[in-house]
Amino acid sequence: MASEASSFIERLIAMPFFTAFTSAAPESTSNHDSENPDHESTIRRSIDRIILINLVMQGMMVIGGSATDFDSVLDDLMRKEGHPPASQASIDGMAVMEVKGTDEIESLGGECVICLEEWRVGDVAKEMPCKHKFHGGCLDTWLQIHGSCPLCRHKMPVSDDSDKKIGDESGRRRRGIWVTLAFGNGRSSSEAESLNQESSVESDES
Amino acid sequence: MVDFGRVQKELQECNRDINVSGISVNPKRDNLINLIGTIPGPVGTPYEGGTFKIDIDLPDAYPFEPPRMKFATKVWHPNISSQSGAICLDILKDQWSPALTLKTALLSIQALLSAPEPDDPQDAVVAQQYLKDYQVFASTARYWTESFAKTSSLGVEEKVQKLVEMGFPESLVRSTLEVVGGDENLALEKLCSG
Repeated sequence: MASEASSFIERLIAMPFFTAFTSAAPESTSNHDSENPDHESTIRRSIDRIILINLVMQGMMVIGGSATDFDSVLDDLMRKEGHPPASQASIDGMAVMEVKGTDEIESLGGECVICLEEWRVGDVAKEMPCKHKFHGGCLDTWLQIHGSCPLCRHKMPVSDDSDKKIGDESGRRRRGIWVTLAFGNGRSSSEAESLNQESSVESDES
Repeated sequence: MVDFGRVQKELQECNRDINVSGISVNPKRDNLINLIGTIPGPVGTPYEGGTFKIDIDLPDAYPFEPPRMKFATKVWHPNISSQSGAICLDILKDQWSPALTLKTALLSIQALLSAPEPDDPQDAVVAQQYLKDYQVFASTARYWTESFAKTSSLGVEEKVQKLVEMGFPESLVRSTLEVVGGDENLALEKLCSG
């Protein structure tokens, strides 16, 4: 534990710049803030949590709160990453076919791997550029979240809103964000998380 | 809204070949959102012989969002938090795909037990130990497996053996023990009353 604490302090010192904001909410539930039912509520629930973000080192630090709370915050943070949504044009441009007979069902191969429902006559199948086929509705829902093939991760062109650099992967770089966390209450621990984040920030790396 | 049709199918499919994979998924309570997965520790690793329970919570958007999984059984592994059970695995985060299932995710976790990635740690202390002194790491991991992943299963086997020796058929003993929640006295009472 002592070594964990010292490594935490080491990291603290190693980071030159911090943008810090504290969110200290009293534990008593009498002070409900119903006006803010947004994502900040996860943080508000905890007591004396301080989040430090180091812009230079691309590091983030959370101090306080329980391990469970921290995990869920971090989890939510990470699950939103991944390939950005596909552009509407690329979704609309895919080949659409209606399942007409048993031959087609056979060639589609059993079931749509997204909903796990077997193919039936009358189903609408959509074909990705990589030739993988799914239910039209299932595939549209997925591509609007992440524009990659569920089976082979073939990348679809991304939409304008989510990324200015359409189809240009070379200008992006992967960043690691180090997250260090320490708990109060006489009990301390630190955990390191490496979080890979696709960055759309223009950089002179190429 | 969770696709319950799919979840139902997944549970059936996963539990159908439990004898081959050793992997099972079952509802924790009376819903299909809070589940509990079980994976056997891979043979030839410090986790061998252990049975590891994984807490599974399905987000509303499942299967378009990854299931939330963490170890309910304490485990000593570079990519699993020794404190919270949180798992560092890309397919549970940004590399999730709806073509993956609870079973394939649990298989990936089992593979992670076989092949730790200390360079991408979840638990920095364990990862350091893994890199600096593998022997100490392995014996700690083995000790944790013995202490946390075996106790209940060993206990059950002992109870089964005891009751089988009394002359009850093994399958009946197992099902009865399960019904009474593992209490061997209650099981005996039930077995005797027929």
